[in-house]
Amino acid sequence: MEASITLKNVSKHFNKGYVLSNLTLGVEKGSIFAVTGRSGAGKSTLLRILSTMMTPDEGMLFINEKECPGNEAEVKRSIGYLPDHDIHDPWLTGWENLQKMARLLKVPEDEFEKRAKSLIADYQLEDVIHECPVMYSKGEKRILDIIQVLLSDPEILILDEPFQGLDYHATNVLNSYLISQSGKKTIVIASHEFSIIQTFANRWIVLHHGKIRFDGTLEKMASQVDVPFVGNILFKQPNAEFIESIKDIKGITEVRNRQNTVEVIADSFECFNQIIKQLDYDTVISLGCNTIRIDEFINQLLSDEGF
Amino acid sequence: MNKSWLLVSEKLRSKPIDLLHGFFFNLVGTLFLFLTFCVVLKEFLPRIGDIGITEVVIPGIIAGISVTVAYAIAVFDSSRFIQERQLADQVGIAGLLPSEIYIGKTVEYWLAGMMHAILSGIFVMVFTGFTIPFSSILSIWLFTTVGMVLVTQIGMILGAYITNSKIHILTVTCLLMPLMLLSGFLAPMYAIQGTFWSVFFCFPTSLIVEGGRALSIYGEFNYLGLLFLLILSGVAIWTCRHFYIRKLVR
Repeated sequence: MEASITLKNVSKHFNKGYVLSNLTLGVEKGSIFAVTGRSGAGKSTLLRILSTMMTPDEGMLFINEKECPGNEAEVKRSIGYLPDHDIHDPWLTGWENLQKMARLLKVPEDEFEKRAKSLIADYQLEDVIHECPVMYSKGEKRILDIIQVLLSDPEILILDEPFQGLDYHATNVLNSYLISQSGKKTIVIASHEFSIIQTFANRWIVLHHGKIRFDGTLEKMASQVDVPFVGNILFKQPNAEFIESIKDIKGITEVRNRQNTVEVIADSFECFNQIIKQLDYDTVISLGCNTIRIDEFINQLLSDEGF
Repeated sequence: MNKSWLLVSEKLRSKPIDLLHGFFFNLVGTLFLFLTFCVVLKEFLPRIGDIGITEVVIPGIIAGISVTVAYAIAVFDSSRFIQERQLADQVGIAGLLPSEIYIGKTVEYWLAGMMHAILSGIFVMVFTGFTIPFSSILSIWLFTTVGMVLVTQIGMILGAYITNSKIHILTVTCLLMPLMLLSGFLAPMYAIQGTFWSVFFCFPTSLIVEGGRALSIYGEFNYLGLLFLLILSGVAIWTCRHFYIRKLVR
């Protein structure tokens, strides 16, 4: 498949040392690429370089086969970058910020009106759009920034923690949008909201200390290391009897009793199936399970490598 | 360049209330300086040679206000723009290249200073009852125009690299203001003898004020002074462009 973004031996260092070290990777056109890792792993720096907002110290970056630095003027129009911090003028109203962005992006007036109003309605920002962002909640500021980035309908989306601070409605709208763009846009997303991004990401990388520790699909993730199976049972009230009843089931590695919720870590789905059989459904509010926990995977991956 | 102008035009869309504030404070500042130096000091020092105090001081008033405004806007706005990142990122994400942002910001600060030089010149003409010829004001504007390029570049570098806004205030109050007062604002520098004082005569602020004054009063064009100012501005542009862009792409 054609590569939309290619990095070759890219390194970046600040005063304290290397933030990215000799990174080589390609992001295929139309794919959704998830970048994960602990805080300080280099995710935001990587995304900033991919967006051409930061120049790497060493190595080469190609966006749609055009080398950067050198062709930024051409490629910038095709990139929509949402950094992990605000990108609006706090003393202009939300609408004025959108107008400013549209003028800078040279979005035609009628197209801007149509697109901005539709996005504002989707994200339900109508009530505050004519106020200054200093009056906004954290989530509303994030929504305003997301709308700014989506205004020009860019071909490549680079999103750094896009779900940060969003309420459930905005999260659902953005999630649905990203799912709908699978195969159409190239999306690079860094987020700790694994349960959301695992619904649409085609490929994952785990960064640590500026190096890629894992590169592959969820399937590869599940097969590469022995990631535990995690089930959550929410009871109407604390249920000590249930915990007592499952303690002899083989394959349970840990039971975490958190008030009304019981989290069971098991080594297989069969084991969890036996646990479910012990349940009195009248006492249960909800039941959930994860066949793979990405956070557990990253922890195990890094601990196996001695980090 | 086209995109740089987009950035400038965004600033030109300032709200009417902001423009009114600028107009009001320029009027107050020019009036107070005019009253202090052209009215009060005139009583104290009735004559300086054959020239009236008004003619001597006016270049200083116009240059003083516009240069201070251009520098202060450049240093404080650059500081906010670069350090807080969100404004720089907003325009960067909108597709402007660092070099375009640099040009746009330079023009923005320079225009802000020029607006105040023009306003100040007009107010001074009004206060003097239009006894000062317009050609004199034009002469002062010419040197101010070049000098402000240098001043905005210095402001932009300091704003981009010094994170503490208290230091910015100190550079205005403890460096720029004394330099303006020592630039021939009150007493013409060429009239003071000695090597020590001739060093001050070469300061950019002195070149702006003295250059404008020599042309407006005596009709003498200080080619060397203007050339020196242009060279300094060129060096400042080259240096500022390099460091400002470096800061933007970090």
